[in-house]
Amino acid sequence: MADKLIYIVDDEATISKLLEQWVEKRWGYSVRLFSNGEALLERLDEKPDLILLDIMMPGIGGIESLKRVKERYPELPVIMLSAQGDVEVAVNALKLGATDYFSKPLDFPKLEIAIKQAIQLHDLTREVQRLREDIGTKFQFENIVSADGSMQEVFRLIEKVKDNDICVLVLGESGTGKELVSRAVHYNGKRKEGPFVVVNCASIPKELLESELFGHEKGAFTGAVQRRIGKFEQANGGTIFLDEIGEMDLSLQAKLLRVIQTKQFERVGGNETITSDCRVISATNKDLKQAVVQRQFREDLYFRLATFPIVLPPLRERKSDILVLSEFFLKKFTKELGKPELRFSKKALKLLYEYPWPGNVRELENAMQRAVVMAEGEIITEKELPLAVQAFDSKMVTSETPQFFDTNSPILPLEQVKEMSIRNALKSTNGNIMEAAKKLKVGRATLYRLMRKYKIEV
Amino acid sequence: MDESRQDQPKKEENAVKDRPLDIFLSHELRTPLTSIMGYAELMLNDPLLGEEARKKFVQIIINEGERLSRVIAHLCDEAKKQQSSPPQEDQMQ
Repeated sequence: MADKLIYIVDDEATISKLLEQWVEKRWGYSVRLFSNGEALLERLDEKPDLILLDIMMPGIGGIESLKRVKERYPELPVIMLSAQGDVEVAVNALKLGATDYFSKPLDFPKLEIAIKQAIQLHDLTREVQRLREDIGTKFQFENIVSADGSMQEVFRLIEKVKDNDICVLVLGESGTGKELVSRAVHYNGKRKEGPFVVVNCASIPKELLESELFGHEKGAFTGAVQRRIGKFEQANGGTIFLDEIGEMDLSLQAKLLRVIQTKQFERVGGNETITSDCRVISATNKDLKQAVVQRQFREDLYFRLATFPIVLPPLRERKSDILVLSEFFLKKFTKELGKPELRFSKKALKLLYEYPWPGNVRELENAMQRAVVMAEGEIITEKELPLAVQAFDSKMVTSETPQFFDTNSPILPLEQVKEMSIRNALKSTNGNIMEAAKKLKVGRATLYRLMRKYKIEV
Repeated sequence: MDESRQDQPKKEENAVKDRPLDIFLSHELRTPLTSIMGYAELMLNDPLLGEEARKKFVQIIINEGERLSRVIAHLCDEAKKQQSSPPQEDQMQ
């Protein structure tokens, strides 16, 4: 408690000294004494944790001092002390924002508890404020690291949509930062003071997803031992983020559509209609249009969710970001792990640049974390990179990486391209022949035959 | 901190003039009482208190007791004056 500073303001020197004895000598706080309101206000910028303020003082009295303190630091706890014994004065002080009021003679055990609680509350308020600021800063889209033009378009879209309540659909491969972008929309928009509630539709069994989204009443089903508030209710006033929306069951899609249209729903097993005012942002790595054609996703829901689509390009399509992000993560993990400054060898940089990063930014982030952990000297060589990156041979890049075939690309013999394609498929499926054949859209027997032809071994 | 008590009687006089009687009474009685009770409680609850501090606290208690005594004497004088002075017209009605 010695690190907590309490200001004691009383024109009666014996009372100030008495309070000093209790507050500093007995309870262990640091104190500073003032004999009037003017002296207190002059030293307010030193940010005490609490003020004990006498009401009846010459000059600007306790009530006026309280007003001025609250104008400058509304959250700062002030406990008023008074020998007046007047209830009206006490009520007035509390209305003006005083934390508590004690009449003299003082009840010291009660005063100790009041000081302790007020400081705890003040600390918590400051912590919440700090965390809010942190989150706000973390998800400012200016802080999404990117130097690529295609991401600038994403930022422009976030800026456009952040203050509107229309549904946003974030599309992109796994690891491209769909949740980060969704948070950026929320934390930069008008709902930033409200909650941001995440639901991963793929990670919750479909039987439980309805109850997760809308809540349930006690006894709604076996195991529903008490009422549970659903995510839509929790997100009231904020944003609900439905990740992997493409995995949602058709029957639940109908209910979701109704909620989006009317903002109303019932808890599972309940009759009460609940209204929740929340913004809906959804994300998927699936081709939802294709899912609509295949009748796996409701067309009306798709159009509703995709009112404002934001497409995140995969990392391999924004090569300039690979090096920017690598440097960013390198610095981040070096700092986090307390390592000395590190840099990449030329070969490591080349590999990082050429590797197609199928897991996108998340894979790159993990690779950088691993590299920083593994690094022994000042340089990160190719040996500190993950095996998949080390083993990557740019000559084996398949047609799945279209940037390899830009206008400056050499023309490759068709047989070589076929061989590269098979090698790449086997590598990305970890040698799983069935899966590789499926991805290559050939039969398993054909794949075996071609592997023999190109002398490829798993 | 200005610990001087020289201005105290003057301050008390001003207080009489400036404040309503109930507030004045409350303030002038409770302030010394706060010190008397507060320092006494300190001594009671701290067996390890040094002799010098103990003496200092006792002296404060005596001073504040005297102050309280002065306020009570002053109040009694005022009451006597009021009793001996002829009643005002509005008080007779």
